[in-house]
Amino acid sequence: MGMTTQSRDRAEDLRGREQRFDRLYGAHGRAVLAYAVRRASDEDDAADALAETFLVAWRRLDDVPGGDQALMWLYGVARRVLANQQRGERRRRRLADQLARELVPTLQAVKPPDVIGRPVLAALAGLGSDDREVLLLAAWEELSPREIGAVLGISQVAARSRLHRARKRLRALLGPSTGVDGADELNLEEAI
Amino acid sequence: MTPIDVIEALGAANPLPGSVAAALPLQAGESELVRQIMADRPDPQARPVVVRRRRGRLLALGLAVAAAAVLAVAVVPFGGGSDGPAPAFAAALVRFANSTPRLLLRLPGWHVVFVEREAGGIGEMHFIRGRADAQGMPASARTGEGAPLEMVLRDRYAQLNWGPVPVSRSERRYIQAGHQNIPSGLGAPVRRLEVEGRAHDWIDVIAGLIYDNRAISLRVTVKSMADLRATLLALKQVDTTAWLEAMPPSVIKSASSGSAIRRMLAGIPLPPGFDATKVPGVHDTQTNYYLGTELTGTVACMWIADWSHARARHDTAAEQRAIAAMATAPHWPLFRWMSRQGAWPQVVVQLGQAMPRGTSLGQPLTQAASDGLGCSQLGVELGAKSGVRALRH
Repeated sequence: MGMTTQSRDRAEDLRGREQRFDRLYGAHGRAVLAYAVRRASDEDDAADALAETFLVAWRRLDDVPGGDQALMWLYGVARRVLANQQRGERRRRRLADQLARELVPTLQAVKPPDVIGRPVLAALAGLGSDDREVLLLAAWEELSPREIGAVLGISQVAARSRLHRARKRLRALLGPSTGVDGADELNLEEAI
Repeated sequence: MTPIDVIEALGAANPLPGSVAAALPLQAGESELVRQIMADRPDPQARPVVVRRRRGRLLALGLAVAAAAVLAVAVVPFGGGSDGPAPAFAAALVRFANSTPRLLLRLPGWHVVFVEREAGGIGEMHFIRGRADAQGMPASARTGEGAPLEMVLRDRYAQLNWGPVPVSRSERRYIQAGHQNIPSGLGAPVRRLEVEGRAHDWIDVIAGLIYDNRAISLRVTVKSMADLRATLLALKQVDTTAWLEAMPPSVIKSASSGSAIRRMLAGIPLPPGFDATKVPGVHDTQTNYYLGTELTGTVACMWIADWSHARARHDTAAEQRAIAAMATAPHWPLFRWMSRQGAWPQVVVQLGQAMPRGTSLGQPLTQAASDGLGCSQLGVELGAKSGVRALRH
């Protein structure tokens, strides 16, 4: 007995979805993996975050925007997944087991960051998480304020402003006599 | 150091530059990952759900992360409402209350819609002004993917978080050494505010302070500094009774939860030997959602144990009985309510649907159920010699 028209349509639809997903992973998988590795506490968490992010993408494939915006969408999902991990809401996915096993030796072979970056990383730890993220999106993902806005769900203007403030705060922390409560703290009276 | 230098210095500290990531030899692991993800068959009718964490266990299957990022609780009563005489609070509930800072936002028209305490002294409460919708959000709010949260919530929603005082000195200083000095209803002033987002005239702001040896943060969306000051002044610590009385109906207030359990189990086929009174945690749970996870988790684990045991014995009739029982999971009346506030029902349903093929997301079903439902913590072992039931001993 042959396939019914309906089941044939479903099979074709599924194949189409699989091809789209394959292309999505091919285009952005490594960027999302790098995003996760840069922020996760270990390789398992990074692999988990990658798996979780793309599982969300697979299930919501119709919501994933086209073009470059797809990567911003994926970063946005990955950001929430990692935030949940850090809040202890870690889901023990087995999807990424093999990838996690491969990641450990692979990443050990990667050259460590330039020594010049160490003081700035130490100073970064003194910033709030929003400040940190906006700076890292600019420096590590090399995103523009418009793209940062897309990842964080804020306007380009707000992203630019946050980036500006975060840079000032980081500079204050890097200064020899500047404490974490630098003079450029946001003045809410003025902000409102 | 100029602004450009800061970004450049950070760039030099990138632990995994994009060009290096692109060249990593990971194709085998990635192919396997993509294959496994695509083996997941989403229910086209399913809407995104907010992942809710179970106490001490983690949801491992079938979870979609909600992009709106705000979780909520349905305000459909299972237990006692707020009318009538003051309920006799269960000892477990009193312990629960006293393990929190017992804070309330004492503003006219505001009420609690959600509370959760997690391990490590961490907790969260949500308050809204006015009527809540089924998701525990301000009624008529639209939490579409693209809409900034502050546009949706304005001055109708507040989120309170608490946790241990940060161990790191710099983090403590960050909270306490800001330049603001805004009085709060807790006595301790708010020194630092963080702006999370802005839309039109509204500002989404987090006020942090240290109180009662806890780090407290209150996130609100306000239009003016006066609004913010009024909100912070309304943040009060109350006694145990007042705090429990302010809890929403989703929190089990009555010392007797027997009737709530009976109602929850209505329409659910129970496995042989199931005894609700022996379900671990059933007397120590604080919310109907968690009680629901304990009960339905135990039911599902026991059916899966039966199924596994039947397969090992080649007892087709018993195997089919278990499969048929779990096939009804999408229609369990309790799940209609629970699915509005978390992904637990989805996990149970997916495991039930995976029973005929014996695997779920590439894992043996017993392993997937153990991970996803925490069967061993529910007293149901699903190991190699599955079918062993602590509950029936």
